[in-house]
Amino acid sequence: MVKTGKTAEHKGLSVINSPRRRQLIWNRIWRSRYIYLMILPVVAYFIIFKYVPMWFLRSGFYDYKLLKGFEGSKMVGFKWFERLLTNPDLFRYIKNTLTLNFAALFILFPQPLIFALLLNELRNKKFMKGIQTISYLPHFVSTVVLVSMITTLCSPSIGTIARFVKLMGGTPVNYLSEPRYFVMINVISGFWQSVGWDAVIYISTLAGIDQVLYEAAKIDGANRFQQVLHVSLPGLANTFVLLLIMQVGQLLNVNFEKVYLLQNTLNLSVSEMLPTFTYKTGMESHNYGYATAAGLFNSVISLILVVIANMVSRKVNEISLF
Amino acid sequence: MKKCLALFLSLVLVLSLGSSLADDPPLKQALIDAAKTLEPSKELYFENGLEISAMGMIFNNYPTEFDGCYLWPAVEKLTNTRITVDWRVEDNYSTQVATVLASGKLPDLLTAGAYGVSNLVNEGAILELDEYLDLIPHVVAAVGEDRMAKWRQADGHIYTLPTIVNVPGSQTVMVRKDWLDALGMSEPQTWEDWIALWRAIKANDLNGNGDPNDEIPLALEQGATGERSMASLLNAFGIRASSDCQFCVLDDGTYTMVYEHPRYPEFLAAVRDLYAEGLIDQEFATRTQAELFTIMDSNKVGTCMTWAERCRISANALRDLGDEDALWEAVPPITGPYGDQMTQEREAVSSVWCITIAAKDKIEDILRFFDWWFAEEGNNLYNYGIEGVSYDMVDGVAQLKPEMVSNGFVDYRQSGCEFEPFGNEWQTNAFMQCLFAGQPMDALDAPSAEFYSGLAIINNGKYYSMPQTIATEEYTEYRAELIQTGVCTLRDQCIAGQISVDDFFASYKTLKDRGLQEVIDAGSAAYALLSGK
Repeated sequence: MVKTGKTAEHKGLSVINSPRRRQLIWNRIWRSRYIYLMILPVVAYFIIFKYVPMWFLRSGFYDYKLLKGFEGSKMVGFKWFERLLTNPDLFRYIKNTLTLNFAALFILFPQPLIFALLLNELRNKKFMKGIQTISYLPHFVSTVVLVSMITTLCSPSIGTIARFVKLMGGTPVNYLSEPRYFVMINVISGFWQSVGWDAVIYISTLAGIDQVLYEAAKIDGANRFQQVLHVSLPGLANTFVLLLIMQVGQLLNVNFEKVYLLQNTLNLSVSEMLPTFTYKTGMESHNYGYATAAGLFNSVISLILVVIANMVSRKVNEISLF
Repeated sequence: MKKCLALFLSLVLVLSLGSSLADDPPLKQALIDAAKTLEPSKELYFENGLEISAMGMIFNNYPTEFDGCYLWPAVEKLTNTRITVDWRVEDNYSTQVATVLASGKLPDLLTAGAYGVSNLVNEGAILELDEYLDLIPHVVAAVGEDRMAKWRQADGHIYTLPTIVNVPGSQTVMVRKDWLDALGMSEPQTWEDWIALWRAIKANDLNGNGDPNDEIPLALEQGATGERSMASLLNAFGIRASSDCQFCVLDDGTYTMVYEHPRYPEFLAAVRDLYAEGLIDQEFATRTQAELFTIMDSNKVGTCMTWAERCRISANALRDLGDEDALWEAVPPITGPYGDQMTQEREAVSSVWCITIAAKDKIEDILRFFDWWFAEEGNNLYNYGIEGVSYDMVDGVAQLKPEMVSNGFVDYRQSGCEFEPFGNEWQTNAFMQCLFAGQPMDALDAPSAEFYSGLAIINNGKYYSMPQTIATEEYTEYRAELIQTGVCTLRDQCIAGQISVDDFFASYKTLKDRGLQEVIDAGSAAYALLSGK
């Protein structure tokens, strides 16, 4: 293989395109055909759902009509972008988006790591498995069901929390219509739903850390906490940083369903985010051009954030996605 | 263990299936069998057959399969028209319409639903029907000259085939009669009476659970689409609001948004005070219809306004739970501080089907079919089923068999009668027969009598014809941004004390500058066009 590569380098593109070279590539693919077969659905997914839709981003410059398509729709230039950027609520949407998502990022993102470390320290394997199973079951509860549960729990007339507050001598509050509680509700419910499942990747990484390192640490006199600090945490660092960068990339889009479903007119001042605004503009008002413009704006901010996160990560600990 | 669980689940499934099969109304199968033996109609029969495909929105418990009720086989036998409807659920129906539009594969008929007829017009997806009105004289007659404006869209044109309900009542204000009695109070007559009643409900442990603070004096709900919370109170202040409580017609005939009504500031301040005093509870802006029903059935609500049928259902639910005296009394609308007392009349003419451009070549046949459908033969089929099976003609008047109406509207509809998602004109005669289940009023139990009273008696003379929400281009463009998440949010924030009344109007002015004024102007112009003023 190395030899072939050098030959190609020396003899230029004509060699790369030569039948022999093509045959070699084909043979290599054939040898790994099952690996390629496995990756095929993922590639197809990304092409169909992530790349093909990019072609429709130009609808942000049209008064786009679904049935008429681009040919029948009127081009409006930057009209929707102007409307978005002159929307006096835009700053609030961005602020809410960042607040809700950064709160989730800073509070929730480290939790699975901590949870995985705690689980890893349990010596009773059956107990550990039990806790693990119980903790990741909420992941399988759909967002709609989760929101119904939250709504029922928080209801001041029939909710469990209200009953508890009354028992304690307090006055129940409609937490879902009080803007100041919205971020907290979002974070707590997110913790319940995701901490167990998100810990799985860290648990598997922990299982892959060479036991010799722990033995060596023990011989050096490290206690349990020091083993976690000097062996487990460095072993998880790469995974943590990569997940963090990817999370930052999705920062403006996470929580959309839950936030949208938890919205009401009384908490809208803190719950209206760019993605929910985009959804309403597109799917409720059927103004697809405006929605695309808002979505594109959202994506640009996401891209900027991921580039910054990647840059910071590369500078700080030499780990980066690109 | 796993096997036992699997066996248990299988048994539950089988039993559920069995119970659902056993729930069929008594005459449903007889109607289906009779439909398959009908002779061709003398009024309309397509020798070469007519195939109509459709996508519509299903609700209630209507059967969705082609042979799930008598209707479609009967239509096929009578007219040689095969109607295949792709029924979709109400939730996210507009997204489903968008998907069909994006695919480019349109059915012949399409229900616009929340997607909006005006949006379909803008898409160029549906055909204008103005020039074909002479093909559908029975439809035009059913709508009636005085209601033509409600059939037309904002641009003055007709694009839809309607469904018509000539019965004004649907919702009513209701009060817990047993709580009234316990308080020694009588049915409120004035605004002051209402306030006194709400205060008394708040101050007393009327449900007897030991907690004097869990009774809700006036429970408001958002309605199926989040639009109705304010209807009963707007009406009490003399504001004749549209069904979504956004538009009204002023005394001088001007069509505008309710926020422009001279009484609106007073209304807002009064409702804000009710909230501050706890007479309207904290969930007024978040409560869904289902949640209202839950708290009504949980013995927590003193007064509310909702479907009249809840008088019966909720009272029976409470009685089943042991509160034998529980009774919801249907009462006339809330009287406001100026003595206004009114309630919204049910929308008589509603749009159902749009004929799409895919059916351009057979539009005349489709319209001939619908004219037959609205004529006597089709209309009887819709209202009463099949003669001799589900109804008899007595002195020239259709009389539904007792088995059809013994369970009110439930069996009647589950048999396929009054298939509202497909639409036609619902005869008042059929409605009344179902309503009273073939019994005189004094033979009904108290909860049922209240239901019938709320639907057909107590509100008579108080109804007003609702102004339309005219879906102009401006309304469509700004609805989500400036109305639903704009002024509605401000209204609720003001009521909940998050902003002042002055702040509300200052922010409302900003919204007007951003486009709401365009919505008002376009709506006003369209109203003038439609009403011929």
